[in-house]
Amino acid sequence: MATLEVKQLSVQVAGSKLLNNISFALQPGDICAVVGPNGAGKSSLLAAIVGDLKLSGGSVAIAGSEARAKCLAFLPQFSLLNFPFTVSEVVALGRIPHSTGNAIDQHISTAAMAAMDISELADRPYTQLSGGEKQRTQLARVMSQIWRAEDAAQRLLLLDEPTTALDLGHQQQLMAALEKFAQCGVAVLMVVHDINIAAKYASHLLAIADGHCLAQGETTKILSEQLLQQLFNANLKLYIDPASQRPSVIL
Amino acid sequence: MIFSVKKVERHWGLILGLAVLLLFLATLCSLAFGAVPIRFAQLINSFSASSDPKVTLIIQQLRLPRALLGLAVGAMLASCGAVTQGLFRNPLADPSLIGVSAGAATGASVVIVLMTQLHGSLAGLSLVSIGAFCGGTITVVFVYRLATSSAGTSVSSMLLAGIAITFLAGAFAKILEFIADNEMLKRISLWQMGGLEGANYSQVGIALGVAAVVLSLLNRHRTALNALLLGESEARHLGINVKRVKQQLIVLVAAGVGCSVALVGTVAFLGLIVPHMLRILIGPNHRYLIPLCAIGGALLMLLSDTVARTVIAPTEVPVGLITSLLGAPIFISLLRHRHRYGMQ
Repeated sequence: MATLEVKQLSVQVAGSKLLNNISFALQPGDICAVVGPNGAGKSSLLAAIVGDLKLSGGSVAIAGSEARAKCLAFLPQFSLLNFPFTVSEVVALGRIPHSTGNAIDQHISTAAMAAMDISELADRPYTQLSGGEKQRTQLARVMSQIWRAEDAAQRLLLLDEPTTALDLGHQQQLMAALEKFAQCGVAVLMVVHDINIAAKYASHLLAIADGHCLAQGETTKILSEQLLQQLFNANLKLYIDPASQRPSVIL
Repeated sequence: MIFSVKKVERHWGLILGLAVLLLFLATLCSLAFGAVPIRFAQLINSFSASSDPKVTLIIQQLRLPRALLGLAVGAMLASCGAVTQGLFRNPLADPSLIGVSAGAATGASVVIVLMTQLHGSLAGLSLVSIGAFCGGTITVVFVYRLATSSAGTSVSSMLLAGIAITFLAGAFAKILEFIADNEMLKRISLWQMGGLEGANYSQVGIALGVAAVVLSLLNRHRTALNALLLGESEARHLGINVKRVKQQLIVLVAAGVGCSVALVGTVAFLGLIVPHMLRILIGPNHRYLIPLCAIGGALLMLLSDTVARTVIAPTEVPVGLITSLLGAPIFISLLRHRHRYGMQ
């Protein structure tokens, strides 16, 4: 059964159509990258899926009989937190939906912090961190929310531009963590601007322009110079890495 | 933060116990100090049958109700302050921002100026107090309505609506002051300065009752408040029913602050300074912040009132004046050094 099934989703805000007739499904273990130019409706799509934006048409079905917060974690693009919680406290907030007890929660928070390489920062106030460190803290928080397979039958992770503030090393680390999640059956849907990250790590692509879906499917099958031209109105060269057989893009 | 989160978590029982002990000692001090100094031995003795009737009268009829009223009001103001700041995600927000204080002051002025013929009381509450409570409640309802649209209640529009309504209520109060005579003006200005004099046991009963309900309900929302600091949408994705929590918190804050203002007038800065100081000491986690704010607010109120009664005894200074004089410099220094404590 699909973890997430979006059918003919449309969103209209103040008379303008942000999203038009978008349909796709995510299976457990999929990593799907949403790509497209600025203002295409990528963040709106995530907001509509989690219920922050009202649908004007279509439907969103998320599998699992548990409470939504137990199986779905969402990282928005910006964080509003301006109170000096420590990093470990912020990460621990991710366990609010579960009543698994202090010991398990603490164990998960520690593991999530290690995965995002912020164990050293555990006692630092969030407000004093750099942009990338804040991003990693928030990532660890949403990961800890859906960390254990026991807590929910199906798990879904939605990330809005998770790599923007991260340096290359931490981008790689994040992607490795996401791949590990996917191997355990989590479905990941992420908005990314770096088309190379999408090409290298995403199993599926969802290309959106102007609120419409231009293409969707397995990354290796649909990523083409023609699609990139259509999406970004730019001349980009596509190479296939001989070692991994994955496409990569040169600006 | 001065104490690390881990330390607070590990020694929470001890910290809470020490805070309660400190509050108990402060209560004893406030009973002992005053225009008529009373020794601790006399103080303890005053609750037995063999004590000096004069001392018994001073303790049981004057200082004890006053101290208890101060405890309840201080605890409510400080914890409502902490909750307002959490709800508005702004460490400098004060309950008065949503219009409670201004509305209450206007309600009190209406009674003082326009209802001079009416004297009397209801269950130990003066008409002025009742007027203040009604004024405070009406303004909060009005502000809440203004900020609510079909999309929900926006916290930032509530803040702006609160400021607008505060000005409106202020203008209305000024008109009342304009038509008031000298005697009324004096009563209005004394009421606005705030004070605990004339405390009686029915007021104490009301204040303690409201405080017990408000504090225990606020404390139940501690996890939701922590999640709300991340942002409303994030809190919703953590499974918090944001709309319901927001409504309940606003009602609780309005009841707590409205009741305090009605009983003792406006006491400035308590809801701002106590949470702020405690956040610097132990961090913003509401699990620890709400109980300690209640104790800290009660403590500061008691100490301010003791100073207010003794500094130029036998004349009393309004306690609101003392909290303002103490509070403003502390607040300014906190503002200047906020980066040191991780505040933005």
